[in-house]
Amino acid sequence: MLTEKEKYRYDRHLRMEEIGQAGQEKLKSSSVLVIGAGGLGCPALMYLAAAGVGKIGVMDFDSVNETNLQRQILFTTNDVGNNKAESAKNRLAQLNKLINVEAYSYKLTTKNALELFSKYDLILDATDNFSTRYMINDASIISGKPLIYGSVYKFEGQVSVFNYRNGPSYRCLFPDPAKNIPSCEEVGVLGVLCGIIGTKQANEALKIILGIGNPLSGRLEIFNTLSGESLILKIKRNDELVKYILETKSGFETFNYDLFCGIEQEKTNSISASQFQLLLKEKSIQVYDIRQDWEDPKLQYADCIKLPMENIEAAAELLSRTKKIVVICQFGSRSKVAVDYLKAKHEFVDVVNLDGGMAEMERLGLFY
Amino acid sequence: MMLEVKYFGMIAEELKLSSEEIELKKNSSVAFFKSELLKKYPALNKINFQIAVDKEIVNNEFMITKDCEIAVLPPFAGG
Repeated sequence: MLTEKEKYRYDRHLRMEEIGQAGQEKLKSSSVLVIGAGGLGCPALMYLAAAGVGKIGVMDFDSVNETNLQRQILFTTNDVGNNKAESAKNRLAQLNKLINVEAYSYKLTTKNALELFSKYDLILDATDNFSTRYMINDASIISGKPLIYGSVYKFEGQVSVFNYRNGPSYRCLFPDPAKNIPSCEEVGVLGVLCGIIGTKQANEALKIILGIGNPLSGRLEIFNTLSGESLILKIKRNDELVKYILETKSGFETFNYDLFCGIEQEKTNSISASQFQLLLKEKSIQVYDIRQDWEDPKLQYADCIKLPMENIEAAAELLSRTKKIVVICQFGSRSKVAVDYLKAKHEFVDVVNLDGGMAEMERLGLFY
Repeated sequence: MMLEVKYFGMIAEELKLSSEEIELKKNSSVAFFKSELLKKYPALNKINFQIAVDKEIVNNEFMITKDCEIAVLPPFAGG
């Protein structure tokens, strides 16, 4: 039921038969979580609040910076230095006191995403990096919530609706994460582009809530501010991929999205043959040779513990805790196992494996 | 076959081109088109992109059988 105040405020909605009182009531009882209160988040939040969406969540761990004010129009100069989510909440309250706004001033992670998403009907991705986008996508599939996607690059923007009524997901569009597309911070962006794309995202949210028009599910809109042209591409759902996300949902909380997107590198425990030769020349390391007695070529190096792999426990007592240890074997596979074991079981810190083993040293004709 | 190829985002910027016509032998797969594109523009090797044929995103196995419109689309991160 709408109050008299609400009927007055939303008069311009009520006049349209496509919305009317029934539509406004749908807006009042709906909830949207906007992740990111930046270029896209600001206009999206403003229009969702103005339209009377009953509950809006705004999530952002960052603070307002003066460079944001070129496009993040929800904030004022007085907000510089304050947390974005809190500032957004305050500003939206001034715009519309009849709705409820929750501020989350911490980072979205795999540990808090599912619980947070369960509290909202729709999720709006207004973030600025791939690992968060993939995480949001997977969390929205698992939570069964539609996801409104928007992204920008300089003068061009993309908008779509994912995970809505058996439609495609973000992964169906871009299954392989890109590793090197720069952010707005690095290449810059036209302010109005953010306004246009963020507003288009709010538009999709309103269409879904009201059940009017055609939400961009299964379609990707690419808008270019310079040419003024819009292109719509059809996207097909990849059933296998979506099914896979659902089947592996128990792994969501421990999945490393930064690693998946190449932000984090797999920590390497190996050194190359030529690196090993250098270290031997410098005499800066201790070598742990886990080969059997009869294995050749023999290493000529003073600080070397020669004990076959089966005596690793005894070796662990003898190995240096202050020097870098290089574990060697014939081909570099047994030594890899030894390195992992010394790290995990005996908490050695600076221990690495010789990639390719002594066979590689011999093949390259390196001094040993 | 004559393909009207459109480039977007970082790709258009890298190639300094928003569109061009490319000739391709009849009945080629998207995978083949991609390899020809990468031969022509090796810089694209470090950029992930999707291909749309006549405004529909397709996979590598899709066969291009006539003149059509191709979109070469990288993901955007910004927000």
